[in-house]
Amino acid sequence: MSWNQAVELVIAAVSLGSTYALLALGLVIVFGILRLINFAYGEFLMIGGYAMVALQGIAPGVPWGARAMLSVGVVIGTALVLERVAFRPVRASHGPPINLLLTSFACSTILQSLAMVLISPRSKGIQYPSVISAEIAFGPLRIAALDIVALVVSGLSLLGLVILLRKTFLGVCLRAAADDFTMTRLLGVRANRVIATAFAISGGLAGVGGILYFARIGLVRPDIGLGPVIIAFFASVVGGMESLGGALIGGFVLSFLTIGLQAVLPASALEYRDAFMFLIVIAILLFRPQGLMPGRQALESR
Amino acid sequence: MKSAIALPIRRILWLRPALVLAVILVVITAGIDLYDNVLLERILIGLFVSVVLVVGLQTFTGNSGLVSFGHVSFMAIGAYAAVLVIMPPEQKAYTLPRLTGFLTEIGLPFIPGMLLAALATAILAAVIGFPLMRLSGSAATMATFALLIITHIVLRNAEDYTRGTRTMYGLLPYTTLWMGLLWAVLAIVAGFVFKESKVGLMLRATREHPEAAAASGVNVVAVRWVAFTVSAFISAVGGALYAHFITSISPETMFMHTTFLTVAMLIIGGMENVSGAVVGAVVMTVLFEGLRAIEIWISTFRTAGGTAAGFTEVCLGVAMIVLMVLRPRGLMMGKELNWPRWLDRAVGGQSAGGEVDLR
Repeated sequence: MSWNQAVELVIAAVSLGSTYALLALGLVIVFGILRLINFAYGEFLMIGGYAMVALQGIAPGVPWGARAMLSVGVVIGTALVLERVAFRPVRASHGPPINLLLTSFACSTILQSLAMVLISPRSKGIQYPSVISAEIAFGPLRIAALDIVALVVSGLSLLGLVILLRKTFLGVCLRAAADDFTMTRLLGVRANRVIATAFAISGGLAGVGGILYFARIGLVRPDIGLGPVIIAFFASVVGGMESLGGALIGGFVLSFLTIGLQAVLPASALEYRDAFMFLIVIAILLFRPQGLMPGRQALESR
Repeated sequence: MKSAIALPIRRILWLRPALVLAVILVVITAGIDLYDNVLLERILIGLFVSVVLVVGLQTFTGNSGLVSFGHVSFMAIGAYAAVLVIMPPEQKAYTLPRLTGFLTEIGLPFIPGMLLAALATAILAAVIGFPLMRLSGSAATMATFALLIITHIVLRNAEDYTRGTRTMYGLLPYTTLWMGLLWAVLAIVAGFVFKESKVGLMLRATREHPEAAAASGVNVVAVRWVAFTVSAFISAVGGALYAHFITSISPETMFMHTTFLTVAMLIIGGMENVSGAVVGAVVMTVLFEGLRAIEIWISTFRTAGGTAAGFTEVCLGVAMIVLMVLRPRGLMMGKELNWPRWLDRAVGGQSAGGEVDLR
């Protein structure tokens, strides 16, 4: 492998990793507060994809960027509705924590089946501006424009998230709740509002991450959510579900693993690439059960 | 005279919940068998397979409190392993032409073949579980989920043994009504005996308070490991029964959807005990079949080739959320089924206090 190829691979991995990191962050922001692994997260992406399809049908005259923003809004709305009608009642009934997990499972099935009944089991194409399929030459290097776009968009979203979490009152409440939910509530922060905010942010990240994810495949199906949700799970688990920084690192670890194994494995073993990847994930879990970047709570409860 | 009958009954008194469940299932089976309706019979066999699978999951998840998404992989491994040892050699030459070694020559009868497959799966689970059982909480859940995905990928690609993504068809329908009943009852008894055993009690203690259990001398990792192996065995039996009930299998039929359904049955019924697992399987099966009948009925009204496919899943999801809101600890609310008090008095046992609530 030449140097140029290696550099191109690294750039591809960094770009893919930034998308994965966004997806993982959306999962971790809810987990941090509710200890809920949200299986319906993949369906958030699916909803965003279908919103794009619907908007390009209804309003083809509207600029692409505006349509993308609107579809992110639709995902945020869906996340808030799910929180209100499903997660909040189950949370209020004080069952074991696994009930929330099953609720997310149920929401995932409901949304998937609704998409099948109301839209179509077959895939629909999503339009993207032609810019993203271009290749840009930097001297000897050839880089896909999509990789650069993904990197920039993820970077901006992360910046937005950091500002939200650090500089706004809601963000401070959120971080406090992720640290110690009971104490935060005792200090007078409304639980329902914090949780709804977390779901809204999760929806927003899923919306943006979804648009970037779908850009690589160009279509949406009712069952499309499984792939990204698995990526988000394992990125966050590998990185550490207690910390936002962990989700970031996990996303990059997973993308480097995917692209690295793709380059290193012989052709005959390529079909088993994902199996190898998940074996490595299990190995990481065995040696660092709290993830590569455990949060403060994890350290204390050890 | 009375005590002569009562004594042997009193000796198995602690098995009460399993006996009650077994009697109920036997009565239902006999009823359906007499009524002789093919559709009801199929539904009931399906229920028995679910009971075996959910009790298998309960043996580990219910007693240890660790949520496993990996048990359907043991179901799948058990199903494929059973097919490999049970299918007659002449049929294998046709279905699996690239098979090698002793597998090409053997074609065991159903029950020995199934037990052999389950044993092999249990050994595999013991090897896999050995490192895995050190994990707790969401790390354990995710690791078992990774296991499910790995198994799925391997089954899809090991074409010489599994036909890959193509369906493995032409399996003989060994899982009859009474065969299903037999193994459902055996699974219930096994699950119950394990729960009440010394290891089961220690495991339940680790569920409630791992540090306290460890301080009392329980080897947390070891008891979890035993449960993992036992439950993999039961799940593999369930897989073998499933394969020889549906008579065709593919990796896709034993993946996310089945995982979701078995976990849902366990939680809806109440994961802390065997009765919960069984009740959950029964309730979800009744709901599912009822909704599917409605879905088919609706489909007849939709014109232009449209179907209502998906209606069942939507309603099932909503019903699950409602049930969880109304009964957060499951339909059984943390208790085992028990027989009526007068039976206790009749056999002269102590009054039915139910089980000790560890909480």
